[in-house]
Amino acid sequence: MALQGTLAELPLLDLLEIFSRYYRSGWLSVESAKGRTEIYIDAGRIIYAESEADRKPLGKMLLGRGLLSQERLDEALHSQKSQGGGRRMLGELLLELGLVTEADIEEALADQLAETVYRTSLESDGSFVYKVAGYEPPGSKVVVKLRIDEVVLRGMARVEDMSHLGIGLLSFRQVPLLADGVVNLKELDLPPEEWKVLSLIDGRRNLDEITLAGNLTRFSTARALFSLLGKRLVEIGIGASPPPVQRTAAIQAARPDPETLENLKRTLEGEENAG
Amino acid sequence: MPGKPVTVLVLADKPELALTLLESFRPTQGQISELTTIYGFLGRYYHVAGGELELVAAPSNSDLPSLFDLLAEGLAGYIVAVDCLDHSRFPSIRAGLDFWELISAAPRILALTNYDEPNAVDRLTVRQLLRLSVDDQVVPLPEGQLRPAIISLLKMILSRPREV
Repeated sequence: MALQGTLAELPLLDLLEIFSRYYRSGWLSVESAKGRTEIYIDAGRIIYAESEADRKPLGKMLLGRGLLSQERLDEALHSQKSQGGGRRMLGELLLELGLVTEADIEEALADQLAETVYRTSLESDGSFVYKVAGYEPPGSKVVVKLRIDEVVLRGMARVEDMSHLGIGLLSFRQVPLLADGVVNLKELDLPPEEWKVLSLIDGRRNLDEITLAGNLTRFSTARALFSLLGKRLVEIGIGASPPPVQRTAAIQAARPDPETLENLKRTLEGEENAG
Repeated sequence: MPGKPVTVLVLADKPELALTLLESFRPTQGQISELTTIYGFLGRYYHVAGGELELVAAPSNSDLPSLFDLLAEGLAGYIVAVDCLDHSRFPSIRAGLDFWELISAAPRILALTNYDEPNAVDRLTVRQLLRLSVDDQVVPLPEGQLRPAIISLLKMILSRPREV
């Protein structure tokens, strides 16, 4: 089976969402002005991506995450060269030298994968071809399999530079909270998608539950969440969900100024009689 | 110098009914000073009559608890719209009333639309089906106009004893 189309008709993340939902496996090639990106999918999970435009080497990713120093990287690259150039994979060599752990490599590979896919997803002009095909991982001990939501969260956090938000790595199992001081919602001008996510935040639902309750896609939830985080309207709860909120007292009614009330009533009655 | 606006929430089991009612409100002497869709899918709010009245439309269900907590703050009263031609929604309206009773002590009034249609549920049956208490006021909305309900609600708020 082959499927092809344009990104204008079917954006990449929508396409990946479909593959994820139906546990599809295959190979997806996306052609855009920035070049070609190849993405491999295994039972709905994204397992490998490579782009002509944005290739971030593993070493650079580990450096960026502070998991490896420049000296150690140079040492490993030197060793790789002396052992016959690129025949040995850097990740394997780093593991063998004990410079990083499997978990470190997994994290860096996940970032690499997510960033490549997310950057490609920002392209609105281009075409894609999907084929049912197998994929042999390149003999690495460490293989990552990311869900589409993980790709979106990781990729968005890296590409859109969310570092100033200090939220670290998000998962859809985390529980968002309304930020302190969010009181006058009427002064906010938010798109409907952000309102929907904001209104479903109750300190109990996690991001997956919000996605489900709002009939949203994980991508739209993530997009709205990052925007709300950037506007400082929402915070991310750390740890387990708090216990359900018990409503013990009703909110007291406001006591409007009687003069304002009377004046208003007279105005409206006058209008009614005039009408 | 106008004081703080009086905030009135227009709730309906079907959000579009709340919006239709809000849009039917066209003051003559005053004016809609602000019309916005900032509530997005939730509804809209108006500042009317020289900024003295703030009308907010919202669905009455309990799907949006945290936002409703915020809306309930500073609320002077609320109007619950009931479509007399659609009694299949009455259980849901009752659930909405229970929810709002729980979160807000503000006075409310029930406003009936389509009450004069041939197949409409009459006012007494509405009271029975919605299990309303004797304190619940029910007003008809001629031609779906919101004004009588707002006036009745304002009278109700004015008649409430004030703490000194």
